[in-house]
Amino acid sequence: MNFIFAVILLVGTIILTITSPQSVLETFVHGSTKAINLSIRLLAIYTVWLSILNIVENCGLDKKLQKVFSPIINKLFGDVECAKSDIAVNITANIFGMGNACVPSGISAMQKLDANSKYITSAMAMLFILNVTSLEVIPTTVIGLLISHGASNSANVILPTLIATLTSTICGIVLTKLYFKIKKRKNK
Amino acid sequence: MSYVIPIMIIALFLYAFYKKVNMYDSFVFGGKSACKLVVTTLPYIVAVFIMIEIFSASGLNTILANTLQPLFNVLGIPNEVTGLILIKPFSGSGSIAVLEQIICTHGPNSYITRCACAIVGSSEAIFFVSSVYFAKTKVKKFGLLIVIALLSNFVAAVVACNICKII
Repeated sequence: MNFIFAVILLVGTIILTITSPQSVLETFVHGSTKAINLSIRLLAIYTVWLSILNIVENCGLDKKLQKVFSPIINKLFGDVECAKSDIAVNITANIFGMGNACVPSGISAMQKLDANSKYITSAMAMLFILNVTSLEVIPTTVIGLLISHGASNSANVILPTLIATLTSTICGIVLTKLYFKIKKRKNK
Repeated sequence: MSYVIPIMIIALFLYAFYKKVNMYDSFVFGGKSACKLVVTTLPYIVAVFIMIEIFSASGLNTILANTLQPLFNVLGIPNEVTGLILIKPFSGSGSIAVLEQIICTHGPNSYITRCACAIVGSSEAIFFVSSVYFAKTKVKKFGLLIVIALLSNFVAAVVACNICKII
């Protein structure tokens, strides 16, 4: 992340300085303004979802979710007893495409999985991959957008999307497993 | 479809009522934790957004799109969605804006639109997630993980564009 960030920032700023030097600072400020606007929106979204998730926890439903997903979690993450309920909530929120509802549980799970080292563990890697390859079964935002533009048959988008998202998730899981296997062998 | 989440919420509230969970306290607690969470993630979001802004304002994204176009064409990805594939790992809201443009220019029922929808639906904003999710951890080294994430989403985009030709 550090490397990519540095390269894009450096090359981008150089190009921008050549093409329009007066807009360099403006672009930086514009970026952070957008970030703060988003954060305020996220604050509203997180408040709602964290409240609902708190009710879920107080009802003991997260333990039930954990039981449902337990076989999958054990298979993918190995032994992660402490973060299991957070991972279960995160996966549920991802599958139903609940906007940014997966973020709070994702952050909390990552915190519990943290091994106090600067290197990522395989369980953290798996959670990251699951979250970036999209588990969303029904792409609600996309379908909403299509309908608002008068699509006659938005359902014919669902099948290709489902196949594509399955491809990315499976591809991600296999590559991550493989990557950590190779790493382990190298360390031996 | 729009009923799914509201009904789940109603069911949850009824269950909470039955279990005598204090809902008012839960919402107050939610607000408190949300404030803390946003304060923790804000610096990360700012950094990512400055990167995105520079990436598109400098024209770096167009340069990258033009360079990668031939490779993308070989893999069956049409020119119209190249920009979308490149912006997607950076920004979720940015890619929705690009998708809306594509729907407007090509019509909601076209092949290009269906490709674009599948691409947006099959991936997430990798750079956003990779900075925000690790906000409370000590992890600094991701190894090849970001490459794996980008590759997986790219494979999905290739599959999406080719499958839309058949279905």
